Amino acid sequence: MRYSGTGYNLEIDLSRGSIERVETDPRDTELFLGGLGTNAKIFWDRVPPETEPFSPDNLLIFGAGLLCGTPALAANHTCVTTLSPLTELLAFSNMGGFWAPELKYAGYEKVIIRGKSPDLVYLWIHNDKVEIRDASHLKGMGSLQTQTLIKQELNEPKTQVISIGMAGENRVYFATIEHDSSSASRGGLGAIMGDKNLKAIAVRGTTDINIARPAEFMELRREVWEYTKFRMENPIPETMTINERLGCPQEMVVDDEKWHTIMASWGNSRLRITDFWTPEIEKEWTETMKSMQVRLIGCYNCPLKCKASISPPGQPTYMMKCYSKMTWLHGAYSPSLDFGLRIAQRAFAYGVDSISTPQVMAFAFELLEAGILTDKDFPGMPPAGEARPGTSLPPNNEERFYYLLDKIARREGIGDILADGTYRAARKIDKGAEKYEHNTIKKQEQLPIKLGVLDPLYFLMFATGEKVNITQIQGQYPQEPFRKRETREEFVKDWFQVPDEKLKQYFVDWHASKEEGTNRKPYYPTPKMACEIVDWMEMMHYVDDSLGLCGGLSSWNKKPPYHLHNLPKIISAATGMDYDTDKLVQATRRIRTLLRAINVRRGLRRKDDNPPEDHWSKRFPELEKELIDEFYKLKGWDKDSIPTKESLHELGLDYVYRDFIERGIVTDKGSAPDKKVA
Amino acid sequence: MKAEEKKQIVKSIKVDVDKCTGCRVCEVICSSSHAQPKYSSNNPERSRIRVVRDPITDRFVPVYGTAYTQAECSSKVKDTIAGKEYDECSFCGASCPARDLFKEPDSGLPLSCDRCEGEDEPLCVKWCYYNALTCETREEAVEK
Amino acid sequence: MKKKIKIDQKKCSGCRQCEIVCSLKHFQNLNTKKSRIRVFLDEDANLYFPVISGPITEEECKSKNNVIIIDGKQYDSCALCRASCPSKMWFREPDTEIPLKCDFCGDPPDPECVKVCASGALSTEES
Repeated sequence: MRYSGTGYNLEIDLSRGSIERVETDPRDTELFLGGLGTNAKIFWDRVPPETEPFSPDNLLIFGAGLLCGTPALAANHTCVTTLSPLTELLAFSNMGGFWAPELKYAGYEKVIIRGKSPDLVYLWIHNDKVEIRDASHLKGMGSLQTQTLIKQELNEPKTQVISIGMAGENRVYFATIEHDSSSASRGGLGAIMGDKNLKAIAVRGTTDINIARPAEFMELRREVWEYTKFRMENPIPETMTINERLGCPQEMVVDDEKWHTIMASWGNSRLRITDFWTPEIEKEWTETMKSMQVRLIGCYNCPLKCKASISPPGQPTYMMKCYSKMTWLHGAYSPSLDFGLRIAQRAFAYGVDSISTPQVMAFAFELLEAGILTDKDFPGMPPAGEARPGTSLPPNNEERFYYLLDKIARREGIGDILADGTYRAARKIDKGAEKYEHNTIKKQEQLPIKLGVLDPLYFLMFATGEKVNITQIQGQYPQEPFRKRETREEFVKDWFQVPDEKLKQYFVDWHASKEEGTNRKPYYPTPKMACEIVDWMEMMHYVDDSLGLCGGLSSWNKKPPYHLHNLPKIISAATGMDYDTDKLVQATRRIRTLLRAINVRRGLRRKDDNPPEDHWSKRFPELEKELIDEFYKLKGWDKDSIPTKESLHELGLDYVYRDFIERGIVTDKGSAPDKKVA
Repeated sequence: MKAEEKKQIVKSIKVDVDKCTGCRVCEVICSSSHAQPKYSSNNPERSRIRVVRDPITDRFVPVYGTAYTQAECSSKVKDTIAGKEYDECSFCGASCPARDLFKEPDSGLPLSCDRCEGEDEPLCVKWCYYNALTCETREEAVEK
Repeated sequence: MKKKIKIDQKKCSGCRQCEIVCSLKHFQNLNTKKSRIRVFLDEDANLYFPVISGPITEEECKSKNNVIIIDGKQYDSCALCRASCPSKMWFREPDTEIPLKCDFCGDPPDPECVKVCASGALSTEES
């Protein structure tokens, strides 16, 4: 009997219409856990680097985390893995909700999709019964509406459905996969699902998930809950309200958006307004949120309620979480939360990413202003709105955002070009448009943040993150030193989550002001410290993505209830495998290195590990070089970010090295000259 | 002979549908605590409490499994309570042929809430994070 | 097409005409205790809510003292439950104790209670 897992994956070939139930290898579980880890292993084994994202050979894997379906709190994440149309690298995006546990109860750990269906279809998985069903009647339908209709059509209200909207069907490069209140947003995974002509996957499961050592497991679970309660009552000092406790950033509860409206840049990541947040705006936004928010809701088996159902008058109800509350209005120079909550409904129905899409649209309007695009490119577009008096905002693009969102989701006119993302659109439009494409990393749009002095931690995370998305790398370590040394000392006293005691001292010694001392950015934390800190933060995300845990109780927050010291015990009690902290750390290194290896094989090199040039106005090339060198060394990668023979051997990945040699990526003497594959 | 007045403990669970976040921890704890051996497996389908959840229409109703019935209702109804429409089965805990709730998935045998006999309080109540489920205990004279 | 009876608690005036026609139709006898629809009073809110008998159960359940709170108002879970069950005072024929179950007034359904309801609390809906 398998514990915590089911022992089977579901393999679907949409070209041939074949469905197979394939036994999984317990040795892979031991080495790669589940979720992201085993997804990556499958990719390495089965998808050669020549494969294009829109090739039928590209796999689309929905992996339930190792602990999903067990009573472990917040173990509900699905890791979706495929080749991204945006970055052309391996993308992995997670979603919470209810789908992953349901898949486990149906008896599967993953759904692996290959090939392309000739017609639009959806999958219906009901325990052992799996069908590929016609979805022609769902074409063009909104993502949430699709989920509701499928449940009705199957007459199975307890079914959990994931689906794409029109943007996914039309292969918009930043289309999402939506599920209930959650979505796998980054990397354009929805476009791959649409390319495979797969509208949705409905799952209903009624079988058991077994626990190896129940009493021990439940005791650990109780401890996690007790500490969660403690943390909800004891916020982290000097941290913005949305992140001071646990959970996904508490955007649905917190009305004070001073921090975001000051820190983030408006429009095409250009304009910072430091005096936007006034009592008048605060009152207006608080009232808007109050009038549209119906209920705070939680995901499967989670003690928090980070999401909310939102019901804008005259529009369908939808669910929102986190920062999507802000990105749309920022991009549109809009001072109105009403606009933000309304356009998000349409965006989620289309199924587009809330970080990329507003950036793409703001980029287009900047090109229009610069005369690179003209009014002829936007036939029938409404004029810009009025600028809000009393703010430094330019005229808003609210109505124009609706117009362009429709065009992009439908791939009509200019929307067809923009639907490929800013990087490709800029090159297609040409005429100097490239200059305006200034906020991407590895061709994917980033949060609109433009700051002053380089921050070594964030430099490393932005540059090297395999997720190409900052919110999925940071979390464990405070972003800034607290103002007083005493507060810092107090903070580290019960900071037992750290992997090494010295990380506490790094924080205590971090100076908050010039007056306090010189341990300040960019030279502090020192490259060595910065690498250790980032390594830990990143590691926690790889743990979560493989176990299926929500970062809200883990990687996203400081002092979380899940950490490197209790997780090995939880894994052991749930699965019966013998895990300790060293083994868990080793497993995450293995997963991390394999992901880098997959992307190295696809042509990723050091030159791509770069934040946007204008992310900080003060850059330090020498220091940056040192940071990257040091980080690669810590990771066991060579100077060009290729995992070394020794580190691969240590992780039991000798087959990766052999493949590198065979493909000429490295020679016996080290890495070969850069050669772009595929 | 004067009959001694007998008293019994009556437990009453309060379900506040407005406080429910739809997390289904009640289903998790119910199904795993009723597993043999205790907590050795988890499967919400075996739970004696199910959450009727629909965030789009804002229906969040935890329902307890009540009793077995041989035949489904002939008449279908839809309740409008406090201005919200609830589906016919939203408040019904019957293990009934018309639906697959409150049935052992293997045997089809009916499942009904036993108030977690042997525990201090029903575990769904104990674990409900937002007090959508609370339990009150009172003494009541036994009817003659 | 499936027919459903829609019950709107807010509209019910508590006149209990539905109980009367139900017992008349099935027993040719005016005795609301024999009705398969009963109107309960929600004392907290001063609201009436009609309940139509549904499944027949042979045993009472352990949930019988439960309370359901909707929009801040408390409801006895037995009152909301449609079952005809041994622990209830209603949905049983008072003389024989035979359970009473709504039969939708035949096939196709033609419920008398809906026809007589003047307040609009009961209506039918095709779905």
